Amino acid sequence: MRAASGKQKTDAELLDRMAIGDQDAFHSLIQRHLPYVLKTAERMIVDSHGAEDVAQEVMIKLWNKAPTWDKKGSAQLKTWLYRVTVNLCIDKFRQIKHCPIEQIEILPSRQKDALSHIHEKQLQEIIQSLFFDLTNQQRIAIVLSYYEGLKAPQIADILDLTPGAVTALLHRARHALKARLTDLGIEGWADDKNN
Amino acid sequence: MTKTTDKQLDRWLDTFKVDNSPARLTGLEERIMLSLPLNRNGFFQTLSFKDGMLAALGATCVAAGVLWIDYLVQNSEATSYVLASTYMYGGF
Repeated sequence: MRAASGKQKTDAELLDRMAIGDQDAFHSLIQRHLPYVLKTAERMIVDSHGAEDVAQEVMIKLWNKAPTWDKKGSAQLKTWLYRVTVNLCIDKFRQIKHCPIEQIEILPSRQKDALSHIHEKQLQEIIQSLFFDLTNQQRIAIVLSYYEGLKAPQIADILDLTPGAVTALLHRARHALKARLTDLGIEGWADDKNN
Repeated sequence: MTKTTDKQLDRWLDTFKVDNSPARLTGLEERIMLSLPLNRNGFFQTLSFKDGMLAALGATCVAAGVLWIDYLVQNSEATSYVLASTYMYGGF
C-alpha cells in the first residue's frame, strides 16, 4: 500500500516529502535504491551481515539528510548514495577479519577431476579473498564498474577522481586479480561452473 | 604457466553472487523503518516560534471564551447557583 502511492513520484518529490517527515515517501525511496546499495556494500566488504548494517546506515543518513537536500535530482541522489556506501564500507572493511586465500583449502589445480568437485561456496570464498587483496579504491572500482555497470566518469564522480585515473585503477585491479589467479593456478576453475 | 585471460577473470567475478531476494530486501526495509529516528515525526517535533505563538494565541482565545461564557451564565438571573457552579467548574 505504501509502495503504490510513492512509485510514480520522482526522487526529488519523495525527498521533499521526506523533509517534512513523510515515512511513506522514505519507504518508497528505500524500495527504489536499497537493492543496489546492499549489493554494492556486500561486494565491497565481503560480508552479508556487515553489508546489511551498512545499507541500513546509508538509508538512515538519507533520512537525516532529506531536510537539507538541495534538490539536485535523481542522478545525483544515486551518486550520493554510492558515495556514502563506499565510504561506510571502507570504515567497515577495516573492522572485519577476512580469511586470507592461503587458508582456503584449494584443490590441486591441474587435476582434471578436481574441477567437478569445486563447490559454489568455495569459488565464492576464493573470489572474496581475492577482493580482500585489492586496495580499497581498486575494489570500489571493480564493484562499481563490473557489477554495477557504471562508466568511468560516474565512478570518478563518486571517488572524486578523474575518469582517466579510474580507468587506470580498473586496469591495475584487473591485472592484480589475474596475476593472483595465475599464481594460484586456478584461473580456469570458474569456467566449468559458469558454462 | 598459462596467464589468466580477461574472459577467465570475468567468469571468476561472476561467481560472486549476492542474495538480493525479495525476502531479504523486505526484512531489511522493515528493519530500517523501525530504526528511523523519531525527531522528524510530527508528534515529536518541537514547535517553531511562529507555531508556538499561534498555539498560545489559540489556547488564550479558548480560555477567554470559557471565562466569558461562565461570566454570562453566572450573571444570568435565570441560572441557579448550582447550575452556574457546574458550568464554571465544568469549563475548567
